[in-house]
Amino acid sequence: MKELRLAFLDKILSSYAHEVRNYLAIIKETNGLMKDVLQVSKSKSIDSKQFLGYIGSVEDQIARAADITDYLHRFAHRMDCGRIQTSVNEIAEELLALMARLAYRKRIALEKNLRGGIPPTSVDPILLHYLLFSLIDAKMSCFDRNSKICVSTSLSGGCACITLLSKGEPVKEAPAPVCSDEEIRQLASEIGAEISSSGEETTIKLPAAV
Amino acid sequence: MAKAKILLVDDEVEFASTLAERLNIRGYETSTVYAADAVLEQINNNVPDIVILDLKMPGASGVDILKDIKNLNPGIEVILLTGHGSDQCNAECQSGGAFDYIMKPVEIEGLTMKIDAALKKKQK
Repeated sequence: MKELRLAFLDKILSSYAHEVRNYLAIIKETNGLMKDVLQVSKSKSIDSKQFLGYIGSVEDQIARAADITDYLHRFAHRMDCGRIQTSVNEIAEELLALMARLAYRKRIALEKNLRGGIPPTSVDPILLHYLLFSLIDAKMSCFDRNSKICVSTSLSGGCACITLLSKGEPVKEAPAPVCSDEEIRQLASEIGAEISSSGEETTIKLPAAV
Repeated sequence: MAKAKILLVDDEVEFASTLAERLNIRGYETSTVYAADAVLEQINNNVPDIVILDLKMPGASGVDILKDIKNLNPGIEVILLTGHGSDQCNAECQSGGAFDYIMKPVEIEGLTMKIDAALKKKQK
């Protein structure tokens, strides 16, 4: 199980690193282009509209890098807090942001529909992250490009629920997911969650914190 | 003298279009493709001298695209764009027949040196 958890962290960190590196690459190229244009047009007047466009692009990339770094920062602090009262919406939102690059590389759309007003649950948040990641990863392994996975949250019978609904063409030979069904069941039991599946829908049910 | 034709393949539209503009400022004729499945069609329509190819494209392996390009036209030199210069990347680069690889974020001077070296190899 420890090795599997390292594989989970590896995927999250490599997804984050890939995302940030792309933002940095765009910033570097845009700055380089501004320098090139300034050198080419030494004696001519500068097109301020063109430059404002470049500056806007750099600002966009910095904002995106800051957003994803904020998600990683929150995720990192989940590791040392143990069982606490946690919002399933926050967990789902963080994880989807950190898995965006993994989904994009497989050309799978990750959508979210997070309902407000769901009471917190008492859980170790990093284990809930891991459980949700394992279920999404298993679905991503099974579906071909242009498929869709929608993650929604709801309140049902006093429990906070996270539901995954996948739509798309299954792949002929699915690669092994990070976590097997048995390991997912073990993990769910460890955090006191109940997992149910029906067709392409899988739901994690967690009792609301008292 | 005709400008060297470069095809830049990367799914990051903003990165690719900006780098293409920088290469054009340096005297190359650069076109861009943002999807792996459009690469071969673009090469058939307008044969480039050099392809700069992102190794990690969504839904496709850069090494497979590299092999397809080499099968289609072995005379095209390919420079791979990669996020990390690992031994594995070096091996993939060599086994697929790439000329060289360069890391992202790109050092433009380093890239143009590699492009010029690949052009020299082509002219031999």
